[in-house]
Amino acid sequence: MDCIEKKILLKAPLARVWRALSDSTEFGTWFGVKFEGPFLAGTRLRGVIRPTTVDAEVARHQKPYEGTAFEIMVERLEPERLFSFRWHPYSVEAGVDYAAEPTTLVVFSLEEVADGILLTLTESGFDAIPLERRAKAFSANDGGWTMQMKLIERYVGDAE
Amino acid sequence: MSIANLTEHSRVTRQAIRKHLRVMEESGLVRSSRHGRESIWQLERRRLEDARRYLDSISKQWDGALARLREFVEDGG
Repeated sequence: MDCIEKKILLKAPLARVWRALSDSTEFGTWFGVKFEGPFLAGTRLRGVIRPTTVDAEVARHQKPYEGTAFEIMVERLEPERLFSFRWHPYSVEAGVDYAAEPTTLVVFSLEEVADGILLTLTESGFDAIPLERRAKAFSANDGGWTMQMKLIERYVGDAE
Repeated sequence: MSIANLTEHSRVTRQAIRKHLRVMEESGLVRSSRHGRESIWQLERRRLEDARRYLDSISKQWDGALARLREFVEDGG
């Protein structure tokens, strides 16, 4: 299996959805990362994982990942239609240089439908990731990612 | 399983299979032990399972992230 595909219906204006995807600060808010600049087609951008200030327990679990940096390579930004980037999935293992390893391609595409915006997310290219990396990454980072997701939920909830 | 077992009903050469097994061994997906002149190969099921779960786990992360995105845009965040 080489590809993940998700579809989700968003009941919000197209411009709102596009801003949440294409503005790196907004993207970081729901995704849970702090990027060091804006998304620009054809450029590399660094992001950093930071422990939450919202929940002490989650923050404690996040602590080992504090400052963990990763890079994305922004590919395309087609206003209100498509946003894509490449990255190294799960590239949070300390001391590992991922630069030479294959990347996966993440694509968000938007389509206006009768009752909202249909967002399709695909992530492809997993076949090129060494099996060993897949196995190791999973064993090493499951706990961290689960916490990461909990954190985003808490943050978005409290922001309202 | 020995190389002899593995090649018995196959057109792939022993040499090719041995090469594949060595690569898999380096990744920790199989391991071998010597029995006399033969190497006996065993699958490391846990490692294979981990590799499969890797994709499931990324898939679940996206479910979580997209649910947060929905909350974010629908609640006027």
